[in-house]
Amino acid sequence: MTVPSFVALTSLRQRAQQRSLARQWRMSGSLKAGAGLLAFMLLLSLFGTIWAGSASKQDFASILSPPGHGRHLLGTDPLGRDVLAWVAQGIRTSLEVALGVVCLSSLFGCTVGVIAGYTRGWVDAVLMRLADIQLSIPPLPLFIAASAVVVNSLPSLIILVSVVGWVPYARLTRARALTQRERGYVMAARLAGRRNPAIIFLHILPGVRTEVIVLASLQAGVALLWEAGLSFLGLGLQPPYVSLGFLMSEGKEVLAQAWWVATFPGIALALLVVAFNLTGDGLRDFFSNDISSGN
Amino acid sequence: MTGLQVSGLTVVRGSATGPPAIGPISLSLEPGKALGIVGETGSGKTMTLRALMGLLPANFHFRGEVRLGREVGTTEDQLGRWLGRSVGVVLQNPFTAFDPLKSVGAQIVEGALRRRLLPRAEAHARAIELLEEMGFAHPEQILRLFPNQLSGGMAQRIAIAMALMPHPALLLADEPTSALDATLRLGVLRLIRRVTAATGAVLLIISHDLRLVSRFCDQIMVMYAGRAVESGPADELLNHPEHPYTRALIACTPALGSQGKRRLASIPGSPASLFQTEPCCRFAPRCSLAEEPCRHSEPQLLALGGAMVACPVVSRKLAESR
Amino acid sequence: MSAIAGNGAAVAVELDDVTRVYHSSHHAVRALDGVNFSVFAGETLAVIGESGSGKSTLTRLVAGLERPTSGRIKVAGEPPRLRPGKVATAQVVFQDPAGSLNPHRSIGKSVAEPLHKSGRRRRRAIVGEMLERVGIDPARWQDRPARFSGGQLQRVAIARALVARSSVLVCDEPTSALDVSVQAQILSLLRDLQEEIGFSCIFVTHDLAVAQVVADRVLVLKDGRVRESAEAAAFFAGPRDDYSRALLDSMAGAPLDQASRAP
Repeated sequence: MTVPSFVALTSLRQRAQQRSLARQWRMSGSLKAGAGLLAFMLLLSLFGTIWAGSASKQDFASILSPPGHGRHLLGTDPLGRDVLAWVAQGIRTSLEVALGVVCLSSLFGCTVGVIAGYTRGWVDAVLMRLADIQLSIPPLPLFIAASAVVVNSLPSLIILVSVVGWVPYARLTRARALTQRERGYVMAARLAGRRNPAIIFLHILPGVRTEVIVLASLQAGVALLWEAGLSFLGLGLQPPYVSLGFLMSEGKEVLAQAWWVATFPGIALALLVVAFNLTGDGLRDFFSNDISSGN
Repeated sequence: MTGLQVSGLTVVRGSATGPPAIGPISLSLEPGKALGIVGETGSGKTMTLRALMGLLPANFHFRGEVRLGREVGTTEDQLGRWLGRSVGVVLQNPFTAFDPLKSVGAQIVEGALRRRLLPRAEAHARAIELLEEMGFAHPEQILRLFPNQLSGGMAQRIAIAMALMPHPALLLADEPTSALDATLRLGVLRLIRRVTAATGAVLLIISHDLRLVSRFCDQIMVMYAGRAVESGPADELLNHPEHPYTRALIACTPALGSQGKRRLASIPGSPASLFQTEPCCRFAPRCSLAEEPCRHSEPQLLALGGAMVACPVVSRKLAESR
Repeated sequence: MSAIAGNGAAVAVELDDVTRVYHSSHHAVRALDGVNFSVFAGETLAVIGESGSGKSTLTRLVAGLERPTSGRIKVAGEPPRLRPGKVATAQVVFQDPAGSLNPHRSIGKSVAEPLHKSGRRRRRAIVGEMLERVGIDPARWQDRPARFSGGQLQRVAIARALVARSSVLVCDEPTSALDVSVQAQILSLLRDLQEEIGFSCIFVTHDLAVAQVVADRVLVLKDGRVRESAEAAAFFAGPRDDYSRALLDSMAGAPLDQASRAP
């Protein structure tokens, strides 16, 4: 049992009491809020599609009708598309992209990072220079250039955004791998004659699991913003794909007359990002014991 | 100052019924004397220290009475207020006593200034005086250093000086030399002992090292699984240990002597837990003298020779042999 | 294949003018400087040193985890080179029992590490037998390290080292982090196992009393250099080197049968 650190002795007492409170809040607060909000958005998406039907359906009878008017709960856009239907499907598109980007970038980034951190030497140097090069390329010009060549499809977008997003994972896992390789059990594995891939898989990777999960949930929000932002600029997913960013882009043209076209997808996007951030923070608190004890 | 008296110090966890995790512990020390509390991991010695500091973890509660000089404390809050005034603490890792961002000088006087115990100039002078006593030839230079510039031995001596700033009546030391090189240990302990003896403060050292503690303490208390199993004058305890655990502990402690490579005696089994639901002698499962009553009732500390021993079997055997 | 010393005893470990220098951007640190010593088959050599003496570096060099900057090391006749796929000739028991076992894996899997090339049934059998030998209930092989005490974890670490069937065991302060009574158990265990199996042991420690309990011969290290190398009995009766004598004096203090109270 350790008595805490250098703070003047009188506040040792307060800290002893605070720690127990922190423990009580582990499962509540951010994590519950974040997960709850995500669940809400998913339900909204489901409900929206059931109620409002297809997003691409154009109702020429009610172009630019305001919210609450007749069948269109959130109004329609300049082409008569139901905003609720679009938002509902847009949420799903966003989540698909976020999931895809997180999976792809974390897979690639963690592999690079762990190999760099464990192997060290020239492999480490080369891989980290690769990461530096990646970071030094401004994403937007990259996307503009890419849009000239790349096809309008979900996989392409996922790959594109992943290319921009893998470096944080690499940095994180490399740092952890550097400390883990000094651990007794890694040395014991080397003494037991294990080959490097086995050591990395069995002894290094499990130790970075929780931190990668936390990073991934935060990066999901970043991926969402890229997706929406690119669609907004006309570089990302265009129809027939349903993207929140695209509707916001349309909506900005008619902002004065029809505020609802841009606002509702904007709110949906904001809520999604907040949800992921809350979840990420909550997970970080939840895993904090593991992380601080060096896992 | 009339020294330290602790009566029935008990620590319970939560609202548990049944035997307390720790205690009841009682002790009495005259000013200038030293007590060594010896035990292994899980003996409850650190928790006892935290109880005396009023810093028990959230779910643990203190009961009992502590008299220090003219002050009496019966709750954690009361004891907590003595910290930094009449009670000083030296911890195991010297570097955890320091804020790495502040100079040594700023930190030594911090406690005294914050409590308005001394005006700044006097606090400064006292810091210099204490550092000189700690063996530093150039105290002024030390005050300007930052913690990362200190070696382990230096840091611990400064931590001791810090603890002694408010003229505490009680100095608590939790394994003060475990983190130091062996060659430094004797020096630091000698220092602590000399200063507390000179100022009349009571010294309480927590340690796992019976050998070390025996050199510097007047009394020793051996703890096992939250109970004091034996306590008495250091000489008595070392030369004539009575409790089976104390004996076994001494037997399995390597000591430099005439014996060479050998098989050490060891205590079978693992240390008992602090949290038991039924009253029993906590050492019984590992004790070679254990009898049936040992498993059903807690032994009381009884006087035996010059010491107190919590073992009815030993007490009875000694009485029979008379 | 092992070298034979002059008196006929086989030499298990041999260090010949071994130096290890660590280079950082500002300076070079000589962790070991011209170290010479041998360990004979079946004996225990206690390496005594304080922090900074180079004892940890010595452990890593003998195990093959690092290579010396200059000089030659031979373990069972060959330089200890770690090759993936080959079990090291010298196994190590580390100071921190919890740190030497992967917290995410069961102890059974950790103990079976050196057997990664064998079939599952053989692994299971050997692990069970070894756990029993070191005093751990074999039925607990699926439990994670968090469910064991420090002393138990150290036993598991010893089991893993033995499973590799190496002839040399390097124990790097194996009991420094343990309680006295647990230390006694571990030291007894090591002694029993050594008598049974006959491995040679390099026991690194800063505690002279512990060294006296385990050592056939003693080596004293300070600042990377060998200060004294002697038979245990002769050493503890009266060391010849100043530093060794100072160490002995600072630790001898009060033998338990005679207490003196400073100041």
